[in-house]
Amino acid sequence: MSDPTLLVLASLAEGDKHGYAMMEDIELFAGVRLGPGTLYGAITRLEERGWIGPVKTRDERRQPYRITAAGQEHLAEQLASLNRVVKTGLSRLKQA
Amino acid sequence: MKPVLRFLVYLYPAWWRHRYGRELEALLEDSGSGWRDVWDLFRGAMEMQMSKWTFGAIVAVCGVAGLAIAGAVAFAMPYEYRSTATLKIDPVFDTDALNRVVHAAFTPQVLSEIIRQEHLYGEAPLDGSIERLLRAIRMEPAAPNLVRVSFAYNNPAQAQRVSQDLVSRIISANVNPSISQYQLRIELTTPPDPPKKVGEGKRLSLAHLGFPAGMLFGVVLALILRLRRARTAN
Repeated sequence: MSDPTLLVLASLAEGDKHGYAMMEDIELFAGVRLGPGTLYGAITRLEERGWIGPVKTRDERRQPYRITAAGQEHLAEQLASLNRVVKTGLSRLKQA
Repeated sequence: MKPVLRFLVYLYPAWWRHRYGRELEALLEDSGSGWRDVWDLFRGAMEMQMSKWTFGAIVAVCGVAGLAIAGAVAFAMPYEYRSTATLKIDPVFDTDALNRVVHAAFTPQVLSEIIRQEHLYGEAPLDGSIERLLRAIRMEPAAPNLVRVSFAYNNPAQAQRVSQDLVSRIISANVNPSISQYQLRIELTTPPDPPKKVGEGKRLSLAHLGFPAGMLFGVVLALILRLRRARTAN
């Protein structure tokens, strides 16, 4: 799983986060360090799709984001699809 | 590092900087950035710039960029100079006989001696240098009994000296008893001329090639971006 948009959605599924917090969280749970350009590219695309949105804050330089209902739905679909691939792969490995 | 990264933020389009610029700068302050991030930010900025461009705009910009890069490469190439001498072959122009003489004159030992004497091709390995030397030598018929021998190098004085050396060695090899059985009489009619700049046409062709090559790259890039956009839209 290396799609930056999925990683951002998965990070925000836990709760609201700003850019740096997302970067740290993704590195922790996926072992992938997203570069600043990649992270903000993903944030831009996700916001355009309406899958995440900014949360009101006083510190506009560290803007937190929240996953929307549509974003949760998309993430659930993608994870279910990935889950099927993982299950199939693992069962086939056992048979081999 | 930080000033470089801050500069790269300005490569993003204005609409994007207005919305995310301050956040990105805060992220760069908070995270320990490395050289990997320079490429990541540059790529991100280019992707964002192109996200609002049409197919035609991407192709046109890539074409112009290709022309600029190829132009820079073409004009950064060192000039070459070719010095030409003319030999008269008597009694008749016998290609086979002349080839045997040339073969006897340009042995690997002789060629490596010329390379060493003139310090040609810097520190390159000897085998490769001999091949380059042979590629730089040109022999072409000028008339039924005249043959032009020329040599090209990036230093005009060396090009002329090597050209002189080459024709002298052909003449010497011809009078060698083991070769003289071919009974050719070879004499120098025109000594190596002052070297002329060569390869201008090659430079211009390379520079001109940059535009179509850039456009072709632009078409591929625009198609990839279109596919990626379609995939993220689903």
